[in-house]
Amino acid sequence: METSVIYYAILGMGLISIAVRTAPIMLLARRRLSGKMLEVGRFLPIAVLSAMAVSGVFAPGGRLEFGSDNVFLAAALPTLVVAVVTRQMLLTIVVGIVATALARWLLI
Amino acid sequence: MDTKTASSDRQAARSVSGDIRRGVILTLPMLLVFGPIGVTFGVIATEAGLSPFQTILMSFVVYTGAAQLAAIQLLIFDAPLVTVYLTTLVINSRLLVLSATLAPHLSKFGFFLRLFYGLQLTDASFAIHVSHFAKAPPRRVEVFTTNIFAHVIWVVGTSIGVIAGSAVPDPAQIGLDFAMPAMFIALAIPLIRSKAEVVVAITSGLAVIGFNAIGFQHWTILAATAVAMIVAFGAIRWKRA
Repeated sequence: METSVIYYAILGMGLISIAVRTAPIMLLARRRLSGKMLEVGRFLPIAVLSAMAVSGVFAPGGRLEFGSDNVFLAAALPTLVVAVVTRQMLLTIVVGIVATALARWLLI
Repeated sequence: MDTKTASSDRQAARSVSGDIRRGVILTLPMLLVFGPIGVTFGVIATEAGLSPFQTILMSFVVYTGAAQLAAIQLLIFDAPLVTVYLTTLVINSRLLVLSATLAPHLSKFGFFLRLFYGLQLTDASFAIHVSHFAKAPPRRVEVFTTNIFAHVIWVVGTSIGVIAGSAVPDPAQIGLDFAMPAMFIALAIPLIRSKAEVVVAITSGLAVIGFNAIGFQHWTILAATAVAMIVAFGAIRWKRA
């Protein structure tokens, strides 16, 4: 790899990432949103977070994995239960990590 | 409702040092989420031939795990820069949605504070902030403590990966690769209360599986969110009718 290519990659990727993260905040924050928009907008965090959670559990490497190789499927169950019952973020994450380690250990 | 007022009273009474402390506590889970991915990126980028400076610079500037790891894979095979840029755009397109979702909550921030906030927006900081902003308006010191601390964890994690190299044990061995999905579960669940919200969450999840199955790859999150939002719009209409 040529050194200059890597710097161009970092520069371009940086500019693109900065544009997509900042543009909506910069352009939309001061807009007055209608009541209906706000009512629907309330669902946006739920839609995005659910999508990212399901994607992370069912397609950890980017592709769907429904087999027993995917230990995240098993780990997601106790994680979900702890999340619903306790609503504690740190505890939920720790339970998820331990469940994943345990599932892997049992499978090997 | 009572607990809500009580918590906002407590927030109003908090000092700057209290805000910093609270910001740090909020960020602690990120040690588990960002730390291992940062370290992994440091190891992989160094092995791919990036210098320590380039690797750490990329983490500091680009600050998004998925795009950085994808870029390294492309650079190894001498892919053209255009491909690297397009891949970054596609993978990071979800940040548009996250940014747009938070925008209304940041209306009290001036130009530079909004810019500063946007520069450090990540999946994880979004996930943590969005549930907090729903309860009370953002507190500057707490919010930026969270963002800066998370950014530091990412860059320091990368540096550890660069220094330690392949001596670092695989984080997957102790289940740390599940930290990110677990965080999304932990943050989504408390937001889901009404029947309509359950329907939207399930729609979004099923749409992810559907879109992924038909090969949407990195567009999956964006497409699934769009479908779920159409359902949300329908649910509101239906309730009114």
